[in-house]
Amino acid sequence: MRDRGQREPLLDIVNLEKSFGESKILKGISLTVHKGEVVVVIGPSGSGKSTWLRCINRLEDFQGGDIRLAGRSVIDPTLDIRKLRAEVGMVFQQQNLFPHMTALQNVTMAPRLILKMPKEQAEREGRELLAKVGLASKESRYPAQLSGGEQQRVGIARSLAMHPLLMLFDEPTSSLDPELVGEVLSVMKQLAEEGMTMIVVTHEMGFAKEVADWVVFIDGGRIVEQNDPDELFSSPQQERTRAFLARYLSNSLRV
Amino acid sequence: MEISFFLESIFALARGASITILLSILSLILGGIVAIVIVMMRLLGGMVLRLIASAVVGILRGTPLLVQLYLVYYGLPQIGVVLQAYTVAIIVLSLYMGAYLSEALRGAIESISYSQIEGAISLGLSRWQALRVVVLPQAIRLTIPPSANQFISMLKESSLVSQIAIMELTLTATWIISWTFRAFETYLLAAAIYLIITTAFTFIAGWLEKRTAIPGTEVRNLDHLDIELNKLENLA
Repeated sequence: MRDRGQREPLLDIVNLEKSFGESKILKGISLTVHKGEVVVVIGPSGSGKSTWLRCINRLEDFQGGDIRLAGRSVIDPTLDIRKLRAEVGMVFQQQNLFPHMTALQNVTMAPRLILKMPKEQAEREGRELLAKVGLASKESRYPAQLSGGEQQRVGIARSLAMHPLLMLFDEPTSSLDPELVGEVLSVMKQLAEEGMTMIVVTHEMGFAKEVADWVVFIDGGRIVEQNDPDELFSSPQQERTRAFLARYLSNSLRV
Repeated sequence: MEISFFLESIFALARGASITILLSILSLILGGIVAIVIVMMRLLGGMVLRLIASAVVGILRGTPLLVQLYLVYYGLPQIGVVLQAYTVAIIVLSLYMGAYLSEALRGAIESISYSQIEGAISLGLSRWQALRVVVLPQAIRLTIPPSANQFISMLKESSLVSQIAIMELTLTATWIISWTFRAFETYLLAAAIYLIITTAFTFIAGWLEKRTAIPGTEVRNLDHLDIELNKLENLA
């Protein structure tokens, strides 16, 4: 784990609780993320890890606890929720580019509409971002003319175009064909190396080992264990973590 | 038949046809506006607006166009609202068209995947911005084929306004027959004119659909499907 010192955290999640009707999805999750850190979240499906991520930019409401981004509570009634969402980039599991816009238009739409960026500047930055995700030559393609991996990379560029404070990734490679996973992960790795603050929900343990500052294992709506990736993968402290990793590894070997 | 009267008949039919086209186009444009208003009421309005909108659509689609025309033209004067025949025709045709178009537009909007809207919202767009920038541009494209169908229907159904004495194509033909007693030729000619108009607009609609198609998601027509099915059959 990096030296986390006394710096002001970028994201501070305190005792987050959420229920859908009777069933409690999140049972008090606390987590602190500093600028430039990469946190990988793993856990079985239905563990609440996606829901938890979606609470950060208020795509989901929560009933208890608090989330503070750059010192401000996301449930502060005076906070402009749209501004919050503009400051938090999010990449989803399913590709959700706007099909009637080219790759470049997908990237420039929000900066022009929300940040009121002039067209020339938005397009210049958009082209730089597409080049960064390796799609410089495909700016005028429409989503249906791109592969799943390319679409996901445009999606990353689309989020980056808003100059986000942090990036959330909700299983960004889960819906991709195996041969397309690598290109998306390498873009994410590059982002991490450039110092972007990232929270990544994923099943890609290789990525977690290589890129994460620390790994959080969530099960049953609680953080069961969090640690340095090497520590967590080689010597998990909790029985449930061990069981999950063992099951996960045997599954991936079977494939 | 005298040649001059024949020419006069042709001119009269052409004039009738132009009124048929004009009425249909007007009802398409005004009906389009009605449709957008209805869909906005159903999408963004409160409980009451939603109920009103769906009730209006239900009534307009659930009653015959001819009865609606009679009701407004003959019925409203009884409560003191007297409107000119053209005004009645335009209002009734537009509302009728609007009801059908609103259903087409609603279907199109509902077919846009929620994940795109979520993507837009996560970038910081408001509901209204997401609707305007992401949903409507796609929904309107999807509305082109059903709207074209509805418009072509309207070209024919507008013949009903002959019943409130508007000299469109059908009434013009009837009027010519009252002078010539040549029902067969005249109605045949009128039918041919309808066919030419509807065929022309079918082509225009097809062109428009192709023109506005999103690259990579071009609509597969029956010919494509046939080719694909043949391929699969040959593999089997």
